[in-house]
Amino acid sequence: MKRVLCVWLPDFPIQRLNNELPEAKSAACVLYVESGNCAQVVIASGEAKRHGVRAGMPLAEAQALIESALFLPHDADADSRELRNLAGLCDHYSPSVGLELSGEAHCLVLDISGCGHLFGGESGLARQLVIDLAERSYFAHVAAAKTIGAAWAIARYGHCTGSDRRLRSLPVEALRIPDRLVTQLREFDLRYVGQLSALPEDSLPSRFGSVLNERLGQLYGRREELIVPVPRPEPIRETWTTEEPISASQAIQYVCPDLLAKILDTLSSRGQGLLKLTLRLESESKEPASLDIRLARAVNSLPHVLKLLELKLEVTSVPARLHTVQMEASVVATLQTRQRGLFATIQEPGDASREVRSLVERLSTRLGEDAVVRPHLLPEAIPEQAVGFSSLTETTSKRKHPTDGGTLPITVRPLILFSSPEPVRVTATSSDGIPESFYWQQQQQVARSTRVERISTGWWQDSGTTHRDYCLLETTGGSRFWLFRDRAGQWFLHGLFE
Amino acid sequence: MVIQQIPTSRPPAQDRAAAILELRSNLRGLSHGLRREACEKDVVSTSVSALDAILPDRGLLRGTLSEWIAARPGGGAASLVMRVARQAQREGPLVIVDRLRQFYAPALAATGTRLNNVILVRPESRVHELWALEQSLKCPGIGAVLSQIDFLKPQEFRRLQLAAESGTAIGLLLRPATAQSLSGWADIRLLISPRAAPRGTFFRRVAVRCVYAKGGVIDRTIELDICDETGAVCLAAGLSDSATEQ
Repeated sequence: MKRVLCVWLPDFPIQRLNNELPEAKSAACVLYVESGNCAQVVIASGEAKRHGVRAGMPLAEAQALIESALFLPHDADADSRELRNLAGLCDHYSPSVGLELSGEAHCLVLDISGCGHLFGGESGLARQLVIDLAERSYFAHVAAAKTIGAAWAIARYGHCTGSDRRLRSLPVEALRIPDRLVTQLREFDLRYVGQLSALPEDSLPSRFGSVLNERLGQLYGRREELIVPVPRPEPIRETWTTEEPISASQAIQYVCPDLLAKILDTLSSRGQGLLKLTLRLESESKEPASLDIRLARAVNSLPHVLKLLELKLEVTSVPARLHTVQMEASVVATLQTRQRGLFATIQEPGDASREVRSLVERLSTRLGEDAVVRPHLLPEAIPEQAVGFSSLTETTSKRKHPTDGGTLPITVRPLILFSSPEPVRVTATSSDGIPESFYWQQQQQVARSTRVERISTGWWQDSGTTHRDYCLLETTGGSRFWLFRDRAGQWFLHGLFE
Repeated sequence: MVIQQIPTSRPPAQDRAAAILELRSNLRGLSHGLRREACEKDVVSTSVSALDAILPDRGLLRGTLSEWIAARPGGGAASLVMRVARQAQREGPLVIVDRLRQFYAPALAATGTRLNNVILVRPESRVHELWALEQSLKCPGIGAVLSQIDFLKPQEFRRLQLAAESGTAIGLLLRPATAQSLSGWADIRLLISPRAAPRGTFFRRVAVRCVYAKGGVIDRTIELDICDETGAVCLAAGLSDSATEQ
């Protein structure tokens, strides 16, 4: 079943301005557009509206009503750019994200068919999306329904559900029709969708045009309406080539800063930061070498990314006879802007976490992403398979793992577990088969032991059938070891209770 | 000119012991005094009061290294270290530099360590291991840095110590028994030896001796009982006065 989520960002130009200009947050704000000799108000903030400023009002009149407001020209291109950036953010939730700008409302529409369960249901998806937008200081109304029209109408005109009965009670404005048509309908005292639905369909076009029937059909799903996906921006790529191949690997250190600076300039102009950078080195002697740098959060700081690049190049063998160096911003994201404190020497609360993120990026760049991880518990019986690792630089890893914090039941396990169990020679066993002494580094005399814990898995497991009898042995010296006996009766040391 | 005569008679043994204690205390005060005042809140408790009592700062100072030497494998040194690391996690993430890939996450979780606040670094080589340790110790905002290290050259140790001083983390180095004979730059050196636990209990007993502490050694040994099932640590019952054990 098709499901569409509509995200309406009320007073979007004002919200965008508040994010870009911190002084706009505390002041009443009025955006206007020049047309000929007259300037007209396009949109006003809540504070300005309380003073009587309305959209369509001459600017001079608005200035007379509230002198202290911030009057700024409306930048529709910047609005569109930012809305497209937000559409990029929504790619995380849906494979198809489009814009819906009817009725001067700034809305995003997402095809969420089959996506809800990934976020714990549609409400979970909607909640997470609202949180993501709130983190970027955007306030939104969201609604999910069967059609774009219904989702838009509910998000915009605030009903909880998209049932037909509810849809009938919506005002005619919820049909995404021009204002003049709304006025025309009101002349006939047609105020609600339900009143229009009750009229014969054939009678409407002659009086109100075909658009009304089309919108009614789209609202109820009788007419197909497609989401036009927002095209992904062109990849940002910079290339340096030389006619004469170079063999000095140091040369790359002179080329990279220039290429990176150009890429970061382009990103800055889009209000974006770098999440993944790919460097491709083409040479005559070898296959092209490619190296990636991942960042934990979008950044556009040249020294920071250069430092990471240097760390990566230290552990990468640069091919000889280079002729092309290509750099690409493979993954980008909207940049988080934050006002700095007046006194830079004072430690701000976010500074420590920023430093930790920077450390993770440095470690991941030099040691590899697989080498810097966060462990989490897995519900597996085999001890070595009971741990999973997630990369710290992947954006997806920011989501909390269900077993983070150790919620799985934990029996006694050793702090040190050998990656491959070491065979040990058992020199004596008690009547119940538990070792009384064994040899590991030296002769170990067992003073006491726990009962046997059997770990056994079926043939359907990836690792095949496993059958182990584990026991904890404490030696006369007080050391504790974790041994197991396999099906063949061979004993192995698997861990130390260090 | 008056020449003051130096008394030839030696003071009684008791006075000498008291004087040594006083001198030790003064020395500790001199080397740690200013730092302690400034860093009073930067002391991380080991979460075991008996263990805190044998440490000069009643815990471990941030920006310092401590060595935890396991007298024998499987002796319980890591269990105690994890308790300190858990305390330090309150101030920032715990970085575990684990070249041998041996730290076992379910057991870490069982000690109360929050896995979602752990950064596990698994370098391939020893060079990378030292580099990762240095970077982590230097980084502000890190709670603790933990690693198992067998051998450290004095220059390498010194580099780690300087890195620790410039950061906020406590550096916890788990060392094997062979490290006892090597010099080090750690502020605290503790020797953890397993003991045979009394019959009828399933606690494990360990003896902890503060072998070296910057600013004066409190050469005391305490015995602790550790319960691997519940993670509880307490002073071993029936402990004699350890000060007189030496």
